[in-house]
Amino acid sequence: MSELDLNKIWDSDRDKARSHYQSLSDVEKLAKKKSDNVLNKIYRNILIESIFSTIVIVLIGIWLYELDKLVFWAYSVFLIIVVAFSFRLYLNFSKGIKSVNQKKVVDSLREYVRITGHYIKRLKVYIYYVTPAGYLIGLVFGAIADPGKDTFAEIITRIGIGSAVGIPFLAVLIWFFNKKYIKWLYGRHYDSLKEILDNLEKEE
Amino acid sequence: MEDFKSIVDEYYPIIYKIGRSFTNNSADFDDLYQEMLIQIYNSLKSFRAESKVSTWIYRVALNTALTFNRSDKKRQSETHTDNWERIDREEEPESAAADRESKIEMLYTAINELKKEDRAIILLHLEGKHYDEISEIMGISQTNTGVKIMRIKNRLQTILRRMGYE
Repeated sequence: MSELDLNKIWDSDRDKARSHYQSLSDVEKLAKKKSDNVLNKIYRNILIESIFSTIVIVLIGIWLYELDKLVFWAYSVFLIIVVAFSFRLYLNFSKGIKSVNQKKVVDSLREYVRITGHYIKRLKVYIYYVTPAGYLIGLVFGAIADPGKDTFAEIITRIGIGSAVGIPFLAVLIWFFNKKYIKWLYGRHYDSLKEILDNLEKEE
Repeated sequence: MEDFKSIVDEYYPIIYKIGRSFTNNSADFDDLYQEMLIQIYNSLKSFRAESKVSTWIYRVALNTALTFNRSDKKRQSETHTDNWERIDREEEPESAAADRESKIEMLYTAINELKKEDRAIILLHLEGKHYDEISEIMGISQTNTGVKIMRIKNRLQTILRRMGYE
């Protein structure tokens, strides 16, 4: 078995390639379909998250406007900062993924690992910190904005009960997202990309 | 769009071979083949001709293949329905064409046993690319490319011998 044989066999595989090859119009149709690439998936997820967050944010805004004008304006300033920050991140990300596949394989893998790793970290920050913090802030805001005839002690009790009910629920949610969703969707893929990159970068 | 057509028309064997080398059943192959076309189509708009078209095509196709990810659910359901290896092993090669066909399948099966990054390197070597071009596509040094090729070739030959390749 010489190397020449392998090259000859490799070259002779044009027939099968030809038989598989569809017409150019079919190829064009295929090329316009939705990408299954992990970065495109992340890109789509960010879009979905943004739309969902916008709806939630607007609903909260409407509720606050009805409740307290001062809280509403404070909320609006906070919102503008968050939107501007998210928009910048989104622009950088979309610019980055457009050219990632045209780079040298090692450089492209580095980008994949960086972007996917960054996205996983971002998801974890949202799940570990933003979700519980948002829940607690919501409880406190709700209790302060609409105290009714409750005394301070009763407000604290209300927040305490809300936390006691909500925190176990959040813990299950965090466990589910971390163990199942992130690991299943991105974690294993991230590990495999990292391994390929490490092996390629290793000098032999 | 004329550019896309002429590129695919010229380089479809490469796209096909990369697809075969990175998948082991026809369903995954179809998905990867389509994904490579999507990436070439989308990347073409920002192609600035800083490198040769062939180098660019190899980069886009290999980057797509290396980062191609199948979900377990899909893989499990497809493995039992269609498999390149199984279909071709059932055939008894009698003519020279069948013998050649069998050797091609054996070569793909052997390549499939290599690590993903090794498949990319050996594929470029089998395509007749020189070390400097492989190094340019992969982004590793020429010395490292040479050492890796030697190691992968030995591994490939061991696999092929085990499979009864003569």
